[in-house]
Amino acid sequence: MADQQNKLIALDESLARIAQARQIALGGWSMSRKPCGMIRHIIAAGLRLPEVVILTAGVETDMLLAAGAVDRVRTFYFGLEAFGMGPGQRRGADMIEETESSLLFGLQAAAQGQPFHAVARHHCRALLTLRADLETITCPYGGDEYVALPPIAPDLAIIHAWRCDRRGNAEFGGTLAADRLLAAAARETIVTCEELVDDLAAIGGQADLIAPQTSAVVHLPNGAWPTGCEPRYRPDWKGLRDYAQLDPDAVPAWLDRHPLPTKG
Amino acid sequence: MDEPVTIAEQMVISMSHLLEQAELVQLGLMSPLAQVAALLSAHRRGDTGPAIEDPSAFTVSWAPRSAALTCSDVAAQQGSVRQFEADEWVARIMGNMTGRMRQFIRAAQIDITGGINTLYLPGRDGKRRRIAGLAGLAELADIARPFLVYLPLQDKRTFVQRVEFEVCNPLDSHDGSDRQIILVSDLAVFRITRKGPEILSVHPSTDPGEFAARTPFAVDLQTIPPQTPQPEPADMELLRKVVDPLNIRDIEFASGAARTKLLDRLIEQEPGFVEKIAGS
Repeated sequence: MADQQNKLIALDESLARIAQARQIALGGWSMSRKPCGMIRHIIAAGLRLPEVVILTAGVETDMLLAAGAVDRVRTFYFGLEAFGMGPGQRRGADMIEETESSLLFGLQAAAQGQPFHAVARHHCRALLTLRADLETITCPYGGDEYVALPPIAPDLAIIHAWRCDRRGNAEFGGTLAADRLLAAAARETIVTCEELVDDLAAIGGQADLIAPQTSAVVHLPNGAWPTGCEPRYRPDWKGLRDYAQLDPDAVPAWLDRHPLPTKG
Repeated sequence: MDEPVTIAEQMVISMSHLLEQAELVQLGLMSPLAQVAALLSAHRRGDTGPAIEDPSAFTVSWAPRSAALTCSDVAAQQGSVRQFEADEWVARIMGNMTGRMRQFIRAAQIDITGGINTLYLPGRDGKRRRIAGLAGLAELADIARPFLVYLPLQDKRTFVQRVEFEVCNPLDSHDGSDRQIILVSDLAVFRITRKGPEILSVHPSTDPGEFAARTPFAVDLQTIPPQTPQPEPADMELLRKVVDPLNIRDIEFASGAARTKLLDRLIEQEPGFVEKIAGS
């Protein structure tokens, strides 16, 4: 049985858990708190992820694609915002397309143990033309037609936090994204963190994830780079610009020039 | 005004006036022109203007910041009354804002019947694929009234007879209400309803022949449409000195080497600027 007082695990153990997962959710939003450090370790370990679930796919997903380390991406946005497309994205991606609602409501259905989440058909008109797996239902009360969004229950979520204690109480810092929902929907959650503390409450921290929601903790300072992690550091805009301009084949050498984040 | 009004400035000021009547304006994560227009609208009206939802951190504020290309969650939190989670905002707040919220969407394509799409990506098979849900477009189409769209470059590929792939059509009414789309382009301002498209005004700098050639419906050059009002000097000063002193508004009009140069300049200047916003 896992030690409830100390969920800190070694990087190798976290990679072994990730290697078992079929569907992996990645936390963060836009250019903030993306778990890029763990992604780089996944690439370095030669793992191949069958499916990534992410709200706004950016540099972390692009690195996976450029390295050939992911088969499928489930998202409602993919890009490097002002920098356009990244090298991995330019190479092309197999995508499961979602809308903001369909992804969030699918995760919500999983978090609540529901068989589906009903959403108005007109919100999914485009999605229905792209997703043959989606079914419609008739409302038993009003008779209107709805789309039954299936639950999205990732095997594992990887969430990068500002600080976390050994029990697994984690404080995100900056944007909250939908990371609490990801953790609630996923069967297992690995938190990587900038700062490992003994007791979050004792230093005045406020947990965004409480320990029972966290399966394991990995101390990974600088683990969001090149995205930012408030209040420790801002996104590395020059690094992101340089990355966006790379040829796909040049990505491994570029990553090699930036040291892998390791336990502090 | 010493410097002439650019098309970016003409557009952004026209856009800002269309946002003033909203209770809440969403900035949009990837749309510099929409961001500048929203912040200009909020600055102009002060605390009687619309609240700004900043998607960098899902915050709501009546204390508008200056515009920055590089979204910053720390800047987004300055002066905000509340920070939301993404799912909380989308599922519980945004959906209940019908008629009270506005947001400018940059379309990849819009057609004369109101069909819209926003983004394409390369698939692994090499084919282009449209993304179905960017920016919660289908949901926004139901909520935002009028539905606001902009095109930095209106041409026969972007303003079309029929879009290649329709993500949503904001004119589709599910509650019997009359709906309209207002489109602000680099040439003119249009209204699209179920009756079809109409020209509301043509920008002062627009060449009539070019306008006719880049518009997907017949334009009668003999009937001169009204001219879009010239920006007020006070608006120009507010825009250039307070709202967008770094000139991010130009990024959507630049391409190739010019875009790279502008991007490089912004990357150099913005970190210090964002720190200033965050610390103000």
